[in-house]
Amino acid sequence: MIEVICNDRLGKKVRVKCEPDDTIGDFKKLVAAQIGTAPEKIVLKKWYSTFKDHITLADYEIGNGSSLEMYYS
Amino acid sequence: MANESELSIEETNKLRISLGLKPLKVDNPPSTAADADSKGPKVYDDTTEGRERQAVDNWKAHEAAAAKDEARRRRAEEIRRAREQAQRFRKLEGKGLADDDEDEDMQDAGADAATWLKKQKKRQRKMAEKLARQKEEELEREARERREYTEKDLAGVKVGHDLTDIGDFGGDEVVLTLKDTTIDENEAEGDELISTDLAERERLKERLELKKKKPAYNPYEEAEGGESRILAQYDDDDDKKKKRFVLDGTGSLANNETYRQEVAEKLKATAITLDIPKPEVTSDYIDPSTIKVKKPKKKKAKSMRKRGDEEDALNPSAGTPNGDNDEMDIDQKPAVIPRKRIAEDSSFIDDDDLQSALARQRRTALKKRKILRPDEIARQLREETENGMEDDAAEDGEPGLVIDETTEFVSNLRERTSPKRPTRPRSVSAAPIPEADKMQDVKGEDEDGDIAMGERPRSRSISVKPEFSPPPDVPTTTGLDEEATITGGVGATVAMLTKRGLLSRDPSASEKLLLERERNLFLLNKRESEMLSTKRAKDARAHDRESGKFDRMSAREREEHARRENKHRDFVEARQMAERFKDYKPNVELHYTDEFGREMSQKEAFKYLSHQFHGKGSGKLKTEKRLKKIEDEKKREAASHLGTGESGSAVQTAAKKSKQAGVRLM
Repeated sequence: MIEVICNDRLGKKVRVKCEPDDTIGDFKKLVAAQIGTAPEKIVLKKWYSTFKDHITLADYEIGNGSSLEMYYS
Repeated sequence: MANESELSIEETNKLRISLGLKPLKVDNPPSTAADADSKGPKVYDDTTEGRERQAVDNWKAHEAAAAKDEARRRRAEEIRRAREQAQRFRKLEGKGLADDDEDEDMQDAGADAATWLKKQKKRQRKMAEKLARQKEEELEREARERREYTEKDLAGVKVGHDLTDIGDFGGDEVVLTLKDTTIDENEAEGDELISTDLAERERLKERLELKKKKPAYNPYEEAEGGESRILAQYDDDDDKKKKRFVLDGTGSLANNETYRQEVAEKLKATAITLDIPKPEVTSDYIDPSTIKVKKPKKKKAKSMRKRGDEEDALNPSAGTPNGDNDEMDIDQKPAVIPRKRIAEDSSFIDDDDLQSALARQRRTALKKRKILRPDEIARQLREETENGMEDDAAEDGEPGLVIDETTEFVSNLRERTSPKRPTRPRSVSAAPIPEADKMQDVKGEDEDGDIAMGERPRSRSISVKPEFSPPPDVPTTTGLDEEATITGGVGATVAMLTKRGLLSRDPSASEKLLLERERNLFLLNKRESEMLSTKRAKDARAHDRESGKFDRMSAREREEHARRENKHRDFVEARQMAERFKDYKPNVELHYTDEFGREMSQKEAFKYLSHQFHGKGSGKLKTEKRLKKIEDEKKREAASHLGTGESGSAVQTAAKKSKQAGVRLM
């Protein structure tokens, strides 16, 4: 289990418990459940690279305590 | 800033299950006690933390192994270094130089005086021995030094000068010193003595010699020792310098055997006769024995033979009988030849050049002269008379080229000699016109100057006999042709065009015409057979109908029958057609026309097509040039309407020849 922090810098900051082999899509669903936004609307980024839904967190080297930028489309 | 929201594990798991994901794997960190207990391989949970722990453990194990390795290596290194150190100092073990003395002294100092005294005696003895030896050596050396250094010691030493040079130096003593050489040279050649004075003098002489700037090559110089060397100025002069002699034991030159010999030789070489030289009287004449006389070539005989050749050339009839001009030669021969020979023999015997030049001239003249045949002579005569007439005409005093009726008449006469037949225009009409029709057309036009379209007979039979009435060649009063017009119809037009050179007749026209005719015949036959077959089919159908064949048949049967009949007919027709095509020779020609409708040559067509293919034409200049050319062509064609082609060109060429401009008035 790892904990990943998502921050949209607009007032929402969530700490999500997940597994490294979860895909970004799954992760988005978890985030969506926590913040109450539709998962399709969430865009996760690290700098200028947008994370794609079908790739796992481990592949993006997102580990315990990593923080991601959250945007809404 | 923002409050961080977080779900607990249970909540998350619930959420995950609701989303269809597997629940989180929460690991329980193994207690250290249990860890310590289990000596076997550790069991890690299949969770993130578990895996991390495994990785950390692995890393630690690896580090430990590396550290152990390093420690072992360091130890080995230390051992090695120690061993090396030990080896290095092994040589220094034992007593050193100072140790001994010190030891002794220490012993001396430390020991009692009695032993020191005992040893003192020994020491003194040793010292005395040493002194004695030293003295002996010194004495020996002194004795060696005291011995006199005489000439005998110098025997066999080389001296680096010419023996005579030293002799010339006068009776004075010459101080010789050891030559300054490198060790290598010294080892190779041994000691050598030179006189610095003499060496200096030689060097000076050499320098002066160089300053003289003598020409490097002197052809009059007698080579040294009689032998001539090639490019001697570039030779090394080592040989000259290598004059040296070896001292004998005597120490003076007078006794030196080699010196004496050399001096004697020198004296002999420069021996002077004491006789008074006889006054020599030089003769005015060269002694005949000394002169080499070139035998003069026997020119006479040669020239004679040459002359004989010339004679042969002059009268070929003498050797080979030569038909027509035999008689002339016979006339000349006896008179000329002997006289000539006499003349040559007597006076011109020396003037060879003149003779040869004359001979050459004669020969060329002979070559140029043609052997005339009777017909040629006749022609020549005719020409001469004509020339005479022309000259007469010229003498009349009419300047320039005059185009009068006569010349026109003559030029037209020439034209008439070639029979003219109106050819069809090049463009092949699609509908074949039978030959007979064509001929009739031409006739019709010729007679009334009108294209008689209505009169053209519909039937294709050749029964129509064309009436040949040659065009009335009415001689005009002027001798000129009537102005050709195109009112006469197609034939007349074609005739005019051919006359003006706008339509050139093909050399292979008749052949082409034959082909064309064949083709027309073929087409005609084809059409006829087609018509025949259709007629036959109609007849057959009518016959069937009449015979009441169809009445017996049902509609369907009738249809079947008709179809069968048709098929059969088609088959027969196809076979006939194939047979007919056996001797079908198509005449394939490729014509290309450009955008103006001009016919293009092969080259032009290629260019045009390639331009089209590449989608890129010539540049502006080239296009302009081409357009201009086309325009010129058009203009030329238009201009040539003024005068008939051949006669006009003839007049033009004549005018050009006489270099006079003229305009033809019509």
